[in-house]
Amino acid sequence: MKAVKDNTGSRELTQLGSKKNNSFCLRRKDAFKQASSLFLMRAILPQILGLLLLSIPLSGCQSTPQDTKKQPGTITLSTWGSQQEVDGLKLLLKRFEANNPDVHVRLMHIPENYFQKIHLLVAGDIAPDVMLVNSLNYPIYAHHEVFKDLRSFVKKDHVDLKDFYPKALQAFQRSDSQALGILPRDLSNLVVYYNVDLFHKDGVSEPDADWTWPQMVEKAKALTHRGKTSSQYGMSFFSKPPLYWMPFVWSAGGDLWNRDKGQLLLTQPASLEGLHFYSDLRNRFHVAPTRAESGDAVMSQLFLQQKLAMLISGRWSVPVLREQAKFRWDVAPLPIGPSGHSRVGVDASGYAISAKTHDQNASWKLVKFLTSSASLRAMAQSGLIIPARESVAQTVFRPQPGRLPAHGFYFLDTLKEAVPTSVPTRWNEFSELLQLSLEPVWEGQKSPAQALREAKPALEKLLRQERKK
Amino acid sequence: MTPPTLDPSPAEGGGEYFHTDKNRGSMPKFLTHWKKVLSHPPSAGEGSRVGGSILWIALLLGAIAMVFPFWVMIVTSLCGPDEVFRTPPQLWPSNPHWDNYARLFKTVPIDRYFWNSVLVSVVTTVGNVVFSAMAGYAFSRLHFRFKNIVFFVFLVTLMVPPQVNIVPLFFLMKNLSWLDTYWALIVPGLSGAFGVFMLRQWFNGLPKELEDAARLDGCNSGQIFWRIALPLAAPALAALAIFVFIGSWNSFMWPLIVTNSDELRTLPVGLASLKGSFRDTTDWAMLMAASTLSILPVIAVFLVGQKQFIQGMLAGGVKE
Amino acid sequence: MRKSVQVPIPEWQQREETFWAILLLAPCLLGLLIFTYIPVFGSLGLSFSYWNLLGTPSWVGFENYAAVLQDPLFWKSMQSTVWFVTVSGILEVVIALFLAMALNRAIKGQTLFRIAYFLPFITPMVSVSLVWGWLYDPAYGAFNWLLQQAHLIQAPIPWLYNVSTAPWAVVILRIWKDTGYNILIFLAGLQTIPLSLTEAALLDGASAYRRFWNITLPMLSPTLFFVGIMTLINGFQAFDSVYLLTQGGPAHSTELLVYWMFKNAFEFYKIGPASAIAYLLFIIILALTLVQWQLRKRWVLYEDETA
Repeated sequence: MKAVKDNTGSRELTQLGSKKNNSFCLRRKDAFKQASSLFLMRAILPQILGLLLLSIPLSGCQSTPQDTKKQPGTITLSTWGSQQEVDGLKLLLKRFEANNPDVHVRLMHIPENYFQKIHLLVAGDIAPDVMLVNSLNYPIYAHHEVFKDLRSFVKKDHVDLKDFYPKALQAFQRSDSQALGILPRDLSNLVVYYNVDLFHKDGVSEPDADWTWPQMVEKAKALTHRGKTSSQYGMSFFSKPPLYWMPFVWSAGGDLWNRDKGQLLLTQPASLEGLHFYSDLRNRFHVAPTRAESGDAVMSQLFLQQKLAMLISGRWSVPVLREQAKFRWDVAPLPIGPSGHSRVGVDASGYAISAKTHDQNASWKLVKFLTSSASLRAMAQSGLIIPARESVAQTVFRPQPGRLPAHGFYFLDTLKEAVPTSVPTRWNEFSELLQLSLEPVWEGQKSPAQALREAKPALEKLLRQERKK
Repeated sequence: MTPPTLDPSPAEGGGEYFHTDKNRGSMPKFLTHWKKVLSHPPSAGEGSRVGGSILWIALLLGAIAMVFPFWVMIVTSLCGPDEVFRTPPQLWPSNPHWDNYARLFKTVPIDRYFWNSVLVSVVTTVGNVVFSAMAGYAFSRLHFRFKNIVFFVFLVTLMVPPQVNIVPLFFLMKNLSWLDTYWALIVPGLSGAFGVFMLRQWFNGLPKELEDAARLDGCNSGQIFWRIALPLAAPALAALAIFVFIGSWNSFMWPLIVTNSDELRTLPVGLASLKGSFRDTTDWAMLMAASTLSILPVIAVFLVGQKQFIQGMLAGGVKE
Repeated sequence: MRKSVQVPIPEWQQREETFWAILLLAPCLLGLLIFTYIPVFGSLGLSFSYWNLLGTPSWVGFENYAAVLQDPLFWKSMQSTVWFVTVSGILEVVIALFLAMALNRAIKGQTLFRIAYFLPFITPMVSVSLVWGWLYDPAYGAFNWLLQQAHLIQAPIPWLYNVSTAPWAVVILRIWKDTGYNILIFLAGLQTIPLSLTEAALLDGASAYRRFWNITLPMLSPTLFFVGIMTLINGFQAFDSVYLLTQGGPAHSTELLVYWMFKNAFEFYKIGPASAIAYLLFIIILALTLVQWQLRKRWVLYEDETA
């Protein structure tokens, strides 16, 4: 950089003679030593160059992920879930790779904003070969032909689709196509987890299959104690996603929308009753913590810390509780609502193959493996899922002494009356708008009727576009 | 981080750039101003003693407020799992849990994130600085047709906020198959009008006599640039380098969108994903440890090149 | 400004300079054309389309702009942003000005002060946002604890979870982060105030207050405007802090414009409206930048007069 070295070689562009003497350079160096702050140059530049040199071997050695992905026999699998879930999955993948030595699976774990990430990857043509997808987000991708049709694979390998719960397959059916884009892995619904020890301590009887809304409020009130240093709450509260409060709407006899008419049904009296009841948990009965009270802590965190007596959650909480709960716990179905029923939603999730995969055979092998009875049994036994295969579900959910939850069969029982969640294609937008309009309701500032009346035009606009598709 | 918009005064020449003070040689005006600020601020007996010490205390309180969050960050990073959620918060953990850092390295490939940030920032810096110097010199010293038009082309880009470009740029990366590669992280940052203008101003301030002498000796424009102008621009280059480095190190939205694999994440993106990965309990100690690691390099670079950085900020800032 | 004498250069040199100019300008120019110009026009086109990143965009004319301008959420976002930018702008300028004046004297520990004040500015917003998220925790964060210890508040403030406090939480973070840079600019500006003026005022017996109001402030007005507008422009582009601290909540109260645009683009995948929002932002920033340039032209004259 100091350029005091000899001028090596002549340049092509010489206008004035060919004298390239170095005397000028030397002169220059003397004359401008002060002005050019060479000291700074000596201090800064070597450091920068040094860092650069250090980075070159690193960049050279590590090939970019794109290169590794394109190697034959390497496929990517994306999944959501907690660390335990991922660890369990990794064990399964090891077994898969042992049985299929020519295939290597790269696991892409996306713990947050899964579908936003997947959407971006699909848009960028770098989607994973095999993706875990749920029924809520399936429609929009199926609509854009993002997934491969698995029917030919299913036929070739004689996969018995009858072994799967009909509701699982139903959740992925589309009105405009017979294609099968997914093999289901699990069904998902909601139950009430409760802390048996806290119930006994406060002298409250445990919930049973027939308990009603008023009974739930009564029990929750008895279990709620607010103190200066620490508080205990009776019931959990999730303001989002809608899956947590929809059961109250359904149990009151209401519904979200009418697909054929593109109509919002949340504004009907029965639905409003459900929403009202849910918001009352926080704002009238005060059995659920407000957001300020719970702060950054997550509901399941509070439950583990024994600050929450009842937690509405799905099967996915079981592994965490089995591992970390220092108290006795059990599950019960959600209470019966004014309609005389207790209805929860049922979603399904499953594995799909990207239409742009570069190795569809390896991808299919993985999908088949992950939805096989053996794999589903392993995943179900960890307590994580309700397997989509009926045969596996029946064996896993047989009550076993000493294993929590004692009333695990409630998971299967609630399936009978569960409502397969049907969502508009633009679910993301719709649910965000819905959540936003309902936030003041959960904060106790507006009534559900008022909030939904205001939001109705925008929501129905999205629903009406559904019919166009 | 958006660099301050430079005044692209179309008028040529640096004007009253140089003191004739022989001691300073050919140093630009703003540098001498800053030298004053750095060493001898005027204090011509302004204000009383009491007023002075009150102000000093106010300054001290302000400085504590500035540094306080960093202190909390470091302390929390060294807390044990029970100490984190304890009230009152501790001033310094009784038993510093250095193993939080070890745990961090095991849980998350933070060393990979770190080196990714280093690689991307360094390459971007070197490239940006060199290319900016080249363009700045061309605008400053060379005469060519359409100069004003090209100048205008550069100028306009300063007014465009980066958010406008993000979606089409994403698609450009997709079409080049650069998504999830180092190319997408580095190449768009290699060209920037800010550096061009900064260095143009600097080159404007260099006396033309040097180049005339060099031309007499038979150097062509390229050689003049490489052997004379560039070495003389060292302070400005250093200032720009630090500026670009810090901007690149801190950049978040673009790497967030354009990278996906863990192997490619830079530190800010890695940090954000670390925060998101805590499903049930946020591990604040580990999060703070990661934050600490992400801040250390920029602090180091800043401490090394304080003066250059500050003069660079001023060059972009006040007046030319 | 000394006008450079235009000496005509021989043609061969003209050609030579042109050749080198092309060579030297090529990388930057190419980069700007590909990575700035093309996307800018692409974005304009997208703002007139319907697209969700899958499939191909379809033309919808001004529908996106109409939808955005009629969307109450957009106006809420705009309102939040204007409030944010104004409040943080005013506070930043005032605080930085007074701190700069305090620093503008011989004081002990100057280097340390400089480092302390600059630290927040150079660190990544992502990292500091995480730290501040922790500081703002209602139950365990240091801020609430300190405020309660000082008996300034009774109940803990739910910083990030309350519609009225969340915007302030973001503003405070921003002020904290940017003050160092503003102090620097003000310091440089203060340096340009000729000592002769201050000395004359002292001789005349002017109080500190008069000196500030009649000398410092007017002389600093160019710098003030500059800092003010830069704060506005940078404020309009705030993103990282919102992404990490509040995600626009609670109830859309901190949904600053850039974050709202990002949400539209990368969470809802409504590319059309997102591009429209981006262009509206562009227009706002363009207007501010032009105002800043015009003011600078005035400054140059002003400074020449007083120099």
